Amino acid sequence: MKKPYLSLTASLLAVRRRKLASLLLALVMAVSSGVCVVLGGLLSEQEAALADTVKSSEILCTVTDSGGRSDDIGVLSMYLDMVVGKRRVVGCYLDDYVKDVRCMSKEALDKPHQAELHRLYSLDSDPGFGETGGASATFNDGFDESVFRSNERVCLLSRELEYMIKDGRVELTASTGESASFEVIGFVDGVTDKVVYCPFFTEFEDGITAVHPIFSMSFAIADNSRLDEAKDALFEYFAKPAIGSGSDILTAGLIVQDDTYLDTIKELESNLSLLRLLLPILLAMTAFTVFFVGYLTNRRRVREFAVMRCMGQKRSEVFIQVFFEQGLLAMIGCAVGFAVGCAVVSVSAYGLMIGGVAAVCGLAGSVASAVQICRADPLTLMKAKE
Amino acid sequence: MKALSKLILRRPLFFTALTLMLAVAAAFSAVGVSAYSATSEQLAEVNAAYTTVAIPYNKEFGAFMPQSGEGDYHREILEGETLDDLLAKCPYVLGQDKRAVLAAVPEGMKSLHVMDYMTAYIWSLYAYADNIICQSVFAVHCDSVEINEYTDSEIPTIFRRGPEDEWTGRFFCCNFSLIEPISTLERDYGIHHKFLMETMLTEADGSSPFEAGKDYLICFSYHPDPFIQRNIDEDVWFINFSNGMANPYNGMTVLEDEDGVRYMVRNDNAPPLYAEYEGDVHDFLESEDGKVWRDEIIPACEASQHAAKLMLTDNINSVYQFNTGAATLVDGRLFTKDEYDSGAKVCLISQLYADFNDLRVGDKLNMDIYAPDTKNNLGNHNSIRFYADTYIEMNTLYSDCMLESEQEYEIVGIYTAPSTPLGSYALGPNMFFAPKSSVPEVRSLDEAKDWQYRKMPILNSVILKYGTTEQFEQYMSDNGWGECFVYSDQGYSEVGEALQAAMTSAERLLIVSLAVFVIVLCVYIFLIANRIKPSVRTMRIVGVSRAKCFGQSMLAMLPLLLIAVAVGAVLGGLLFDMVSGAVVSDLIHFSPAVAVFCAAAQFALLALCEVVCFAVLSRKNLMNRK
Repeated sequence: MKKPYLSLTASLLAVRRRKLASLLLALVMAVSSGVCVVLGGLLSEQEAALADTVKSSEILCTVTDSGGRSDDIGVLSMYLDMVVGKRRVVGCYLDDYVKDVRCMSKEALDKPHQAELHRLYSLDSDPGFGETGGASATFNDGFDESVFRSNERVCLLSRELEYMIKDGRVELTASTGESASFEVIGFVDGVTDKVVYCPFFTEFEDGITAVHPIFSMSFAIADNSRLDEAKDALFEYFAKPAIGSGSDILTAGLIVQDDTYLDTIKELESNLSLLRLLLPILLAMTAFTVFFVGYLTNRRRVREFAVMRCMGQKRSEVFIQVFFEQGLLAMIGCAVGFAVGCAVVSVSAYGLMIGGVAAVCGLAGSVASAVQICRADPLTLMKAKE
Repeated sequence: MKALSKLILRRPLFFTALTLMLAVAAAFSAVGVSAYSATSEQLAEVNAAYTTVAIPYNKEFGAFMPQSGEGDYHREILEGETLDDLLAKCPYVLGQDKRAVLAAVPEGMKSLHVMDYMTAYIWSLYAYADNIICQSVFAVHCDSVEINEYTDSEIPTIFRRGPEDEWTGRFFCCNFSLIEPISTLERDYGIHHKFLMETMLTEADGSSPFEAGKDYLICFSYHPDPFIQRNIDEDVWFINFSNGMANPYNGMTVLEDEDGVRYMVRNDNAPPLYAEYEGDVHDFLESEDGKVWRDEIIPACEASQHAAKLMLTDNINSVYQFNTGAATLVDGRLFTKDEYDSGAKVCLISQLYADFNDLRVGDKLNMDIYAPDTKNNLGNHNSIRFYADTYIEMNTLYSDCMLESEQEYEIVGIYTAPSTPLGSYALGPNMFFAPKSSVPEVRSLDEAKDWQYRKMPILNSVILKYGTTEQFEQYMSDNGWGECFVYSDQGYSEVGEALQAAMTSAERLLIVSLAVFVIVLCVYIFLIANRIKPSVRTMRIVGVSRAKCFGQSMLAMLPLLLIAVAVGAVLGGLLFDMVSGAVVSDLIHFSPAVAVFCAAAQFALLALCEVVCFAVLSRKNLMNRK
């Protein structure tokens, strides 16, 4: 057996002859590599799911007065300016940290008589349009609720005020006496009162930017992965509400409803940490088992190798034969393990990598036993008992 | 020493390594089981922080519970249990939170009237929602009485006794002048001196309850809302008889005269709403005739003026406003499971109430608790379709509806919520929350056919299994209750995937660790069998019986198993404890009970495999073997 292919043939014969042991070794390799692929995949899957959760969770922030009241808060609309980016020129970049801003103010109108003007930053700023609010808006062609982000002089009217429309417009007079003609862009059904809905930043007079007392306001954190940074930025401008601290039109409180979110994320991250820490331990255990099985199965073949050495085979040839044999089994086992692992979890580079490490550990066990056998004196081996 | 035990001693390396391999596998599986157990516990805790609810929602008539199909309103209210039955059978329902709303009168506290907290703009109907704290007793002089008959063609069909039911009522329109306010809300909202009352209440013979020129004590509810008063006359207050606000038929009977005109008379056992007197009102109150006013009616009005609403719940997170985040804590905490279970006397109050009464978390409230007639009411007939005008209305707090007196509740949390008291799911600033079990009498009231939660959407939440809202809606739709609920899950849908991934990881880790253990077990049995087989055969050849061979095999190997399993359990436990200690979580920890259970199961499995293996080895027929 001077040629390498003869070593390979001998290896194949040995595999065939030692069916049970070969099967066992391949099985252990399959299980080990499969386990590692699965664990690595699980880790990747869980990390991806956690990242999705962080991205998709909505952390609601409720603006209050300084005492914690959440509606009819009366603070000035400069706080809305801050969170929608109208104060960037003075270095306020809160709009980088928030999204889905809802803000409403209410004021009495002199005309129509006993009507109320709701300034909205978005339609859902008014709880009446919420799921159980009962109100629903119908827009005329060419308009939708995005118009509430503008400062156009347009409005929706509750049905009760339909009679006020002339040529598609309605004349409104604020309690301060200012009057303006608003284009009617639709109607609101499901409210009994006389209500006019207009964009928050709409003004009665051109060129004047008035400040309105906010009735209610809320928003969500734009990027939850930067929650701490966002909170730091927000609390530079907002106060933490304290019962009994009264109300002040220049001070808004803020409640960041992140308790449940943070608890959940903390638990999910700790679970992930658990998996991360367990993985190397389980990998070491797997590697030990594979190494041990490889070592023990070869160690029992001392007589066989001794005979081969006595017949003139070189140590390197014996090593190659053992390596081929073990390598073949390891390859088959790993292939099966990888296939099963990939069927169970989604393929991840990390999973494949640690699966490979497990395979290398198994192979190392076989190599170690082969090296030990090759190094031994044939006569000593011949003397060795079973 | 037995032969097989000697075999182990002669080959210490092999058997030590074998035992170690088994121990490592046992440790691996112990870690897997512990991780699974800890993760399950952890995720159960996380899940418990989320409540998925279906809230009854009547699209057309917001004040009422939803109804199936084309059924009429009255039938549904009276047969509300049909929905209960359906929900009880629904596989997606974890339970229902059937709440109760009672009246609580905390000693030394003031309830908020709309005038106390509505600063931006005043809505006409808000004042009605505070009717209970506007119960008053005034001494008045009747200036005039006018009789009017109205045909109420505006009343919506659902309130009629039949589709053709249009009725005419006789109303007495009475004008009064104030003599002296006897009992009214302390805050002075500018009590006027002229009053107007329109009432269907008559004497037993159908005649007017009042006579011009006479003096009366009247018990009424007023609305110090300028918007309402402006509609009548700037100097005249519009007032209502207070009793019967929540249930107009309670304490009164509707009769019809020969022309079919309806009027109401007071039942004999109902407290009087007015009394004629002569001379000084205080002399009247001291007299025997004034006893019921002195001992019953005036104290009931005074209790009502300080009443807050106490909502009793088994799960605060199932309350719509809390579930959606519209209501949230400003200070303190929500109730714990122990508090729900034990009926601890703890409560949440609104930020407005706390501010108004200078209360803080940790303060105690000494409360009398009443169960007055309560219902969802509407601002006016024409607005029945809409949610905005709905409010919880309560009757005057007479002593016969007192459930408990002087109960001390600790404030554990202060919440903020939209302050409007109007709307089917609105809380208002005078709403307290407490665990339902803290008022045990309420449980017995639950059995009543017309108990509150059967009538009011705000008192009902169906708690669903996580992620089953679509299936639940389909189930309800299939049974004729489609679009009768709105859903909220506290954002669980956003974290559900990550929780599911964590659970899946734990399950797979468990499976993998058990698989590894089984594989190693096979390896162990294979190696042991190969090692021990020649010795057993030799023993059999020299005449040792099969039973003895089996016994010796077991005796020799069982200690190895014990050592392997024990070492594995300890190793696994230590590893997991070390790892869980490094993870910052209160919920991940090593459970000795799980480790012991796992080790016992491992030992049993290993022993069973050895029994089978050695039984097979010992039974080999020597004549057929080389």
